[in-house]
Formats: sequence, structure tokens, C-alpha cells
Amino acid sequence: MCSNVIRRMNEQQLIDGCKRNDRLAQKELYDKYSRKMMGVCMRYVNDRETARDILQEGFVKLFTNVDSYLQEGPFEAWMRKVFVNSALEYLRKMDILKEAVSLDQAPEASSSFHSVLTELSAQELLTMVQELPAGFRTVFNLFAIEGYSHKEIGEMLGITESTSRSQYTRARQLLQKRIGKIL
Amino acid sequence: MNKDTDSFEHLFRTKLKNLEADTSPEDWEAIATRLTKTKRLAMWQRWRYAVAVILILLIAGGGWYWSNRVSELDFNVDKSHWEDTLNAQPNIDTREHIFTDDADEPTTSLETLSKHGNSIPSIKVASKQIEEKTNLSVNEDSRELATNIEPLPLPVADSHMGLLIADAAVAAVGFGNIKAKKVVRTAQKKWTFGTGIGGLNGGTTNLAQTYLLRSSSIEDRDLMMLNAPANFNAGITPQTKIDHKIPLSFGLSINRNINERWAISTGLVYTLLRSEWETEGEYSTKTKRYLHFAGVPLAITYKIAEWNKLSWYASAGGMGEFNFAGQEKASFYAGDDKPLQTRNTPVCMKELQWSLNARTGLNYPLMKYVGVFAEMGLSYHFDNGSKIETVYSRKPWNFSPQIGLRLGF
Repeated sequence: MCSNVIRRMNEQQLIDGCKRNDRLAQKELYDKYSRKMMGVCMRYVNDRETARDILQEGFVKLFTNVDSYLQEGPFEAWMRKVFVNSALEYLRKMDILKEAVSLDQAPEASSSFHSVLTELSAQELLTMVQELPAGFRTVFNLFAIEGYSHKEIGEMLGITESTSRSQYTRARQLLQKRIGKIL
Repeated sequence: MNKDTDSFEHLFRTKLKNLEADTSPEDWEAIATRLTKTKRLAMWQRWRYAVAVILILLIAGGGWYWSNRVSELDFNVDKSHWEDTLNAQPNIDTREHIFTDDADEPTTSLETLSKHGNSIPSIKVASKQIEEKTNLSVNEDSRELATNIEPLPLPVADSHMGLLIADAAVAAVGFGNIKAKKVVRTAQKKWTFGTGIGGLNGGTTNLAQTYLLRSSSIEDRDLMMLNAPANFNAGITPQTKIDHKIPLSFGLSINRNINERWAISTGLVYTLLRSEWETEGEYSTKTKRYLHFAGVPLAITYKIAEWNKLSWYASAGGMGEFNFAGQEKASFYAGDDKPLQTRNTPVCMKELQWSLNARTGLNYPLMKYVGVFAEMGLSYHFDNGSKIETVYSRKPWNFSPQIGLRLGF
């Protein structure tokens, strides 16, 4: 009860504390959101160490630029954007967004895997996403998980809208193929 | 998009969007280390550097003025004129002749001198110098001559002039019927720089019959709730001990003497205000707050009296202070001595703190340019409407003795 009382610093207080560079507020915000943001980072790269690097970079950017949060929407949504951008920046720096999959490797579209998908755990789905090529994985995350449109994805990644659509289609087909192996 | 696609995306989104993954303890340490390196200067740190720059400028300005000062005691002597004068001066035996002539007549020595000295240009020059330095008219009607003229630090070229002036004074006294008037003149210092420290003004201690916390980690009602069962059983009333410590101040001042009596002064004053809030009970808190102020005073000083170099003065003025830095440390205890949680929060009073003061004190010169002073003062701090409570909130009238050093030029 004591810890609940003590830690009843609400999100607004945390944000205000972070704006004042209060290290305790920053730590509390980190404790609150680090696991969720680590999940975001894990979806964009295929190894844990790289995900940790992106996580650290994301929080440094977050605390450094917290003043730019104008409270126009939920803080978590704004925070998520910071981490997505950190992941994309890493991928651009590593120049691995241009990885492509040849048409030969792209499987044909299969029937619905609805029942199979519902039985798979989140960790299993994450593993499948991590196995995708970087470019497909990025577009898939941005479209299917984060909810960006192909137009927005094109602007973010510097590709055309049609390229974004085709990459997403390829990503989906690869995932279906992967799921098919489980059956 | 078809239904299958929608469900495909929906399932992935549902399971992966809020997926959580474990982090490592080293992650936060790495983040904190990077934040420390890239931390921008807090506003109070910028003010600290600004105050340091102002202090350096004040000291440098004082040092520059000191190195370029012009002494009031300098004689603007035309050396070439003096050389002619000295060459025209008669033998020293003439002086003996002056003393022996007309010894019974009550005349001024210089009158006597002038009888015999008209042909001596140096005597005329000496007369003129005596007039200038003693403000006394050295003429036939004058019965007063300055005596006990303290040796003035004359330049080497004027050493002979000094001898002539001294001789004239001795001669005047030697006649016996000259009313000697002791004149001791000291040069008025135009500028003085001072530094002082004070803080013997008392603080305040109050006991509030409720919880009045200043903690950002726990609120009054939360602590009330935690302690309610124990307090109820024991019949204990919640209390907060509020302790405002003695303000400590240190200042640098610069004074400009308008005339022999009046002076105007300003400077820079640093003040530290410390306060503590303490509660007791099964769950207790202790909060300490430190507020750092920088103030610019403005005062006018009047020299009331002076004797044997000791001067008594009074001054009145005002000061505006701003809070450039502050910190609050709140600790929460749950029954033992070790705090369960400690939180440090920066605090800053946005409002300016205005005050009026009146002081009286004594100043004594220790050396040529250095004096020591001790003074007592009374000040009143106006309510600036700030929510941050300080000793001035509870005690607007303050008595504050000060001691320090002054450098005069």
C-alpha cells in the first residue's frame, strides 16, 4: 500500500518531472513503459542486443525532447512514435531497408489461417515477424501493427505508395508460408 | 481489403501491439549515463554562471580603477620652475636672520619672512602653498597659521618646499602669540568597495496541528490516511514541525562618496534560505528545502560622527532579490530510520523578493586602504504573493548584524 501511495505520481506529474530533468520521474516513466517499448523495438529487428540499443536510444531521445510533447494525444502514442522512429533510423543507418526478396521466394497467397493464428502465442508471432527480411518486416509493422497508411509509410521510408503495398503483400505471404509450415 | 486480410492484421495487431519484453538492468544505467552527458544546463545553472560573471566584472572593474587612480595629494609641480626657484634661493643663513629680527614684535612669521624674503622667490611660493593647503590666508592681518601640519607625501621635487612650509610653521609657533590651530586633513576617498557577511538574525520554528507537507512524493491526505489507525488508537493529533533556519548572506558592495557626509551604495548580495518540515508517526516525512537568492541593494549612507578615525554612520535603502536556484529533498519513512524513499526536486520562486532596510554601524580604517566595519540593521521583507513559504513569510521584520571589510580608494 505504501508503494502504491508513494508511486501515485500520475502520468502528468511524470511528464512534468521529466521536463524538469527529474531523474526519479524519468526512472519511474522508464519502469512504466520500458517493457512495452522493448516489445516495439523487438518487432523491428531480429536480435535482442540491437533491440536494446534502439530502446536506449529511444529513451534518451524521449527524455531529451519531452518538451516537444504538446499533449495533443495520448502520451503513450507519442512515445511509441519516438521508438518507431528510432528503429527506422537504425535501419536506415544500417542500410538494410532495401533488402528485397526475389519473386521466386514469394509464395502464392493461401487460404485464411484464422484458426491457426488464434492459437499461436504472441512470442511465436513475434518470432515469425523477426524472421522477415528487414524491409518487409518494417512495412508490415508500420501497416499492420502501428496502423499507418501506405502513403504515410512511403513518406517515412522514402518509397512510393505502391512499393509499400507490394512489400506488405510480400510480407504477408511470407508469414502465411511460415504459418503453413506449422500446420 | 477482404475479410481475411482484416482478420489477419487484426490478430497480429491484437497480439503484438502491446507485447512486452524483458529489459536488462544495464539498460537504465546506460540511459542515465547518456542523459547525464547530454543534459542541458538548467536555468539555475545558467544563472549561477551569470552571477559569477558579474562578480568577476565587479572585481576586475575595481582593480582597473585602482591601477588608474589619481592621488589627490599629488602636486602638479613644474620641475623646471622649481629648479629656477631653488637656484634663486638664498643661503640658509637668511633664515637665522629672520628669526633674530623683530623678535619682540607680535607679527606673523611670514610677515617677517616677507620683509626679508621679497627677494626670495621661494618664500613667496611657500606662502602660496601654505594658503592652498591650509585654507588660511597668510597675509598681514592673519593671526592664525596652521600648525602641526602633518607631513604631506610630497614628491621628491617638492622636498625643499616641504621644508620651507615646516619652517614657516615652526617660526609661527616660536613667536608665541600666534594662535595655533591644528588642522589635520585626510583625503576624502571617493570610492570604497566592501565585502560583508551576516546572518545572526533568528529563524522561526512552528508546530502546526495538522500535516503541512512540502513533499512531491506524498500528499497530506495520503499521510493522514496511513497514520489514521495508529493516531486514532493513541489519541495523537497530526503535527508538522516547520523550521525556518537563520538566513545566511554574503555581499559585495560598492560605495560612491558624494561628499564628506553622504554616500550612495549598491552591490550584490547572496542569501541562503533553509527550511525543514517534519512529521511524526508510524509513517513520517522529512522535507528540507534550500533556496539561493541573489539580490541587488541600493542604499544611501550618512556619516553621523567621526572621532579618532572611527566613524559612525547610518544608512537606509532597499533590495530586490531573485531566487536563481533551489532544491527540495523529501524523505519518506515507514517506521525505521532508513528512508523508504528520497526524492530531490528543483524548486524556484518565480516572484521577486523586495525589502527595505535601515542600518547603523561603525567603520574603522585598519590600514591605508582597508577598513573594518560592524553594523546592525533592521529589514522588512514584503509579501510577494509566492506560494513558497520562507522565513520571510512568517517573519517579515528581521534584525541582522553584519561584519566585514571595506577597501577605500
